[in-house]
Amino acid sequence: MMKDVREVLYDSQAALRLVDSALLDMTGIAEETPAAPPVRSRTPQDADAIVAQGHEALVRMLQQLRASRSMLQKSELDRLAQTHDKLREVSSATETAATDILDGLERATAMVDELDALDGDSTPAPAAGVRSRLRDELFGLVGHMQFQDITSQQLAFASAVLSELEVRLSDLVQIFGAATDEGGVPEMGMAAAFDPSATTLDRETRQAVADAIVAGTGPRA
Amino acid sequence: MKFLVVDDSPTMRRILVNSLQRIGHSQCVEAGDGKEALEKFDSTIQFVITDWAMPNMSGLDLTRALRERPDAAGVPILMVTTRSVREDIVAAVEAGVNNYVVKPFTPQVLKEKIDAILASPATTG
Repeated sequence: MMKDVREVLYDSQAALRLVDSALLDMTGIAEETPAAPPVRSRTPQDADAIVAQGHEALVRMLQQLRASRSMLQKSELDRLAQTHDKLREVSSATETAATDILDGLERATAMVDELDALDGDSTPAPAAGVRSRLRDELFGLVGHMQFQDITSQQLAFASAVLSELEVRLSDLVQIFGAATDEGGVPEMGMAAAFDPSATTLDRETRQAVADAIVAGTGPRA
Repeated sequence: MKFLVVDDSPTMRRILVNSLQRIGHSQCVEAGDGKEALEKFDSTIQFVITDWAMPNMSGLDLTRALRERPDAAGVPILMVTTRSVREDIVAAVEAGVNNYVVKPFTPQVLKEKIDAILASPATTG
């Protein structure tokens, strides 16, 4: 059964409190009644008790930490891997959809060309005008399909962030105990090259910045 | 005029090729990254349009590599990319691109930049 991340943190916190408490106990035993008249010299039994208490506390702490490790491994790492899969699926689905839409737009444009060819010069001006506007609309839609490339880069960026988080969690799990059962962090499999700042916003402003820089450098070849 | 269109996104390559055809440039060769572009580049290529962020070899490295080749040194290069940080644009210009288009672009902007490059003395001369 998977535990919520808050429960994992709560358990880890509880384990650390246990250690803290055990350390306090041990300090208490070690510094017991320093001002009391004649300090009783410690017996081997006292030392045994301290060691036994310390050992018991460490065992309990390790058990808690192992439990936390196991929960982190099972719940959070699994969930991250699922999120990777989902992002990959979305990226792939938009790529397929974009291809299909582009196919359709190209077919539609070809049909408008066909209509033009069929009518030849006999086409009434209004009909020719409508076809011309339709062709422009279809071409505009082709341009709008750039969203696919940009969102794909945004998804790749989100995946990279998740991958980093996954590596850190995996490292944390390994600190708690044995190596992960899955044999490390799974590969993302998404495009490695992306622009983390890819956006569809402020196109004109960004183009104006580029134009100013290019204009300032003079012609190149 | 023969174009080499370089972008790792098949959708983007298609949009670029479509846009080029629309403005009368029907001869296009496509490449998915800088490395493939270098392999496909030959003396018949007269214009390069490249993305920046690509696996294997970026558009920036492709530009630098082309500028070092005697047969490509004078070929116009237009960078079409989502990268729009000032430092990136300066780096691209310093690497040797002739002009820079920010994605998402409009067909008008693409045409304007291609026309400007072709009309510039550095290209025509």
